[in-house]
Parts: sequence; C-alpha cells; structure tokens
Amino acid sequence: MTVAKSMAVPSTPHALGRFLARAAWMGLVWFGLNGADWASWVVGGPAVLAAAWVSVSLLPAIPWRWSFGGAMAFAPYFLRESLRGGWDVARRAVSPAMRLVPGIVRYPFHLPSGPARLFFCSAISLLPGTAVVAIAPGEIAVHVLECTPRVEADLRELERRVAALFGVGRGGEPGGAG
Amino acid sequence: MIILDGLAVLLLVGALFFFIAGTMGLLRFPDLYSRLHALTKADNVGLGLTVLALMLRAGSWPEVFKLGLLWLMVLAASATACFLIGNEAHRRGLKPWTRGTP
Repeated sequence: MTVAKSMAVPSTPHALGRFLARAAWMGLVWFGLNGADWASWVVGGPAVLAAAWVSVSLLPAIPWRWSFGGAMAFAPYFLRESLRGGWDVARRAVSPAMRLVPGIVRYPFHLPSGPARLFFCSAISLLPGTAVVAIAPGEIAVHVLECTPRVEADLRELERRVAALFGVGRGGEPGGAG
Repeated sequence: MIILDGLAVLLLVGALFFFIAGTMGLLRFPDLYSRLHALTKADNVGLGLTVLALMLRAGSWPEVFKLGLLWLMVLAASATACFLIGNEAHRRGLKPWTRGTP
C-alpha cells in the first residue's frame, strides 16, 4: 500500500485547475464527436462545462494516472483476451456437449482499493470464463465456467497488468508468483 | 472500396455468430451465473465486430470516434451490470450449478 501512495501523482493544487483540465479533456471528446462543426459548440460548450463541474464535485482528486505507454501495452492484451473470452463461451454455448464445470473460486488479490481494483474486477468479467460475484477486502469470489489451474494464472496475469497500467504496486504479493 | 465492403460483411457475419452463440448460451446454460458469462462475453465480441464493420463503412472520423466510444461505454455498462446481477444472486445465497446436481 505504501508503494501505491508514493507512486500516486500529486493532485492538482486548485479546484479551478482540475476543472479546467477536465473541461479541456471533455472539450476534446466533443471535438472528436462533432469534428469541425463549430456551431455544435452552442450545445457542446455548456455541456462540457457542466460535465466538468459535475466531475470535479463527484470526484475531486484522481488518485492515479494512466500512462500512455501503459495503456498501449494493456489494449492489445485486453482485446486479445476479450476475444478469447467471447470465443470460449460461444464455443461452449453452441457445442452439443456443452462442456461446463462451473464453480466459485476465491482469489486473494493485492491491488490497493480505488480505481485500479474496480477496473480489475470489471475486466475479469471479460476474461475467458470468469465473472466476479463478490468483492471483500483482500479477496474476490469469482464464478468460473471451468475450474482449472489456468483460471488462477489468468487472474494473476490480469492483476499484474492492471497494476502496471495504473502504476500501483501490489503490496504484500508473495515473491516469485506471476 | 469493394475490399473494405467485403471485410465489413465478413466482420458482420462474425458478429452474427457471436450474438447467436450468446443467445444460445442464455437459453441453454444451466444457471444464472453461467448465463451472465454468455451475455457479457459473447455479446461484447459481437458488438465489437459490429462496431469495426461500421467503422469501415463510416463516412467521417467523428463517426469512427463515436462508434469506438460507444463500444467502450457498452463494455463498461455490461461489466457493471454483470457484477451487479451476479453479486445480488451471490448475496442471496444462490448456489452455482455444478455437474451432478439437477
């Protein structure tokens, strides 16, 4: 956990700075949605300002930073795994034998609480054959379609990659695993 | 253009397969938990392929951007809904189906 804190990016000192930074990002999204249609800003301008205001009031400080390199490393992995996950479940659904050996697996994890943990739990649902059904401190319950040792290796791999994406450590991780 | 159109058709056929498989899973799988798997994973891939096909046929960059954003938002919504339903079932003590139990 101390690793996570020391690596967290110091938050912007002033609420105004945060507001402007987020408004700039949301403005970029609006530009992406509408291209060079400048008249659209009659609606987009107020919408962007309102959204930035709501964002700053609901989530004052963002305690993490996504690195561009981390995201570029995570995206192909995520696409490959979600494709594999879809293929895996589709294959089971259409096969006459419909091979299923389901069960609930408990997986101890070490990501610090916050967005990284939330992202980890969401991403598990897209991995082949796994879906989170309960989150407890330090442990999640995962429903799996087929109980194999592969499941735990997959989860460990995802956890490692999410930790890298968010630039957080996995405090208390026993050495050598993963 | 014809190559792009052909590729788009291929992607849509692939998407169709995943949507049908997801629906078959929903109908055939034995319990709530396994059905969640079918709906989230197969349908996400189906939607991803649909979005890719439509991106190839899009007329402008903002359209491509919109389609990409749409897919990411549906991914987030679907993962969240999957957890909420699975978690509620788990909280109520619903046991997962296992081989050998009816």
